[in-house]
Amino acid sequence: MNRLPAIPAAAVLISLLMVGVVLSLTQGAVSMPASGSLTAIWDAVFSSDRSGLLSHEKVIVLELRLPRLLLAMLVGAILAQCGAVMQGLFRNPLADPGIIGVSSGAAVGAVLAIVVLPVAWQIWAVPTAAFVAGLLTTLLVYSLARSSAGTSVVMLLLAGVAVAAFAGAGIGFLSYFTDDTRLRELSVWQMGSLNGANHQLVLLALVGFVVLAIWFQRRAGPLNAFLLGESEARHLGVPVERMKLELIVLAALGVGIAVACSGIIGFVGLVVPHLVRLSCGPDHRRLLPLSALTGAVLLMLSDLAARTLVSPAELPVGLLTALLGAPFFLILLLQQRKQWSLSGA
Amino acid sequence: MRIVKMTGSLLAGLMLALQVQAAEPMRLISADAGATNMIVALGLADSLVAVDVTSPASGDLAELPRIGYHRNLSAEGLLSLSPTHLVGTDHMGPDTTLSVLEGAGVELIRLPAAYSLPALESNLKTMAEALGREAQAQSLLDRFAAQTAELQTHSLKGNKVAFILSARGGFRLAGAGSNAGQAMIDLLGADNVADFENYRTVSMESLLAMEPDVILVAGEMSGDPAAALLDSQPLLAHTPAGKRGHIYSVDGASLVAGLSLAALDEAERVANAVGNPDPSSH
Repeated sequence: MNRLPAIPAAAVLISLLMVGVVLSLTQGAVSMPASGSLTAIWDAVFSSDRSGLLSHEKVIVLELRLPRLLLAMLVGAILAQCGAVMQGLFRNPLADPGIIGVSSGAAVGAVLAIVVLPVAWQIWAVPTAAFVAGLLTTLLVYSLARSSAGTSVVMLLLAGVAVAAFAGAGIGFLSYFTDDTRLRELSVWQMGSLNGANHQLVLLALVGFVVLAIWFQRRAGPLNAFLLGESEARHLGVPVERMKLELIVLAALGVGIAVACSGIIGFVGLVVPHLVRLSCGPDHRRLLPLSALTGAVLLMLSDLAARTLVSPAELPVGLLTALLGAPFFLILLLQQRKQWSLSGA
Repeated sequence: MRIVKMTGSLLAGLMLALQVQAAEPMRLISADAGATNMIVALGLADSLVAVDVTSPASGDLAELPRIGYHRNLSAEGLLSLSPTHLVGTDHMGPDTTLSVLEGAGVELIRLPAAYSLPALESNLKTMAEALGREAQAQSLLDRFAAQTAELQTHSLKGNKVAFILSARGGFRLAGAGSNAGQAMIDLLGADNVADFENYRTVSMESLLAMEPDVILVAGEMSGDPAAALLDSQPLLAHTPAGKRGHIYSVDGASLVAGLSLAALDEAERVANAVGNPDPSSH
């Protein structure tokens, strides 16, 4: 295995992040001098006036591009970290936050809010309902899988699948009986978008990210122990049951925040941790921060493409995360296969 | 949000100052096919700088940039076209985009979806007032009255009409309540075959049992949806509508968010066709 050492990998990711930040701030439907866009940020921080931009151009940089860029980075990082934790916890490469019912639960909550509640409430009701329903579904799945003998991972996964199927039927049922205006509302929400970025959402995502990143990092050791198997982890002194509950609730919280900020954005939580694991190894102390960085880069670049490619219109960002991420993932898998066949020969 | 509003009002002041100086021409963005239709009818086609995906892509409008879907408008994308007005339905969003546009001094004209003639009339008046085109609106309203009278003489009273939105995996049928299909049936003065609310999917068997006298098929007119439907579902020929050749296409773009001016023309066309069926067509 020729794995990349973590420090150079992080350096590459951070420089990619920087390039992405600069591009996101300077590129957009409205063309402005690039240096002006960057100095506008400086001006806002130090309340100087050097950018030479007109005041409405400053609004575009400070009120549109900046919050969106920050939200993309934070949501991408949160989703990727939650995915990495889920995969580690369940020792299952296909685990993503969806598998324990967070996403399907959140979707049911949001759909319910869109279909049942008055339109005027939707701005805050949809994210709140998504968040609460996601957390409740996760706890339901968890309690189904719990017995006096502990929590069965197989039961957890199967219960997650069952609940997701049930949720899918619920969404289908609700959309069958709703009117066509709300149906269109639903389909837009399900595609996910960072278009609604504002200061409150950025703040919510920032708090969520900081709390989760620190907490997850402190659990990197136990997560590594989980990789050996649950009983092995127990013998290593990890309080397995408590750790599982804690991490599941935290991941549900993270996904809930992400869904509340940007709707459903697929692919990041599933594939980013794989990308990192394939190139830098499975040690969670490195996997978690590198996943966060990669998730941030992927979602930021996807959103940059989403809002510039077909301007003045916009593409759904979920399409682009898959479009940009999937080829990378396939290339890595192919390399992996080559190595397996070499070592097998 | 507060900062948006603050910078917005500063900006609005600035724009106002600029407008007084130069009396800029109007730059309109339409986010709905019905609104586009109205703008063109008011003689403002030249002031349009962009339209949404549902607006027709023919004639003068073919060259205009497309702003995408009206529920997911991009604030920066729209601002890059430096519009003076954004016209659309009250479904436009997201709210962040709208408040940024408003803050930048773009005038928003949000019209509720019209499911009846009076609602369409009041939308037309609102728009004409906001764009300073009252005179043109008056002549449109006169034509309106003439068309309505025409429709009343050709009323399909007593006929049962089925409005089919799409026919993939069953027929998506317009039910009662606030939807464009029902509004179209009301325009024709006919009765809806469906007794449920909103759109629902029904089977061929239920459709046969409903015995529609007239079937309307929504779709893109270039594809002749009625003929295509009859080709793929030959059993439709056994409905009263099929036997008498009363299966007609209706331009879906005229009914995107309720009724539009074009929907009136469509209703008139259908009413005339039912009155004088052309044996050569379906």
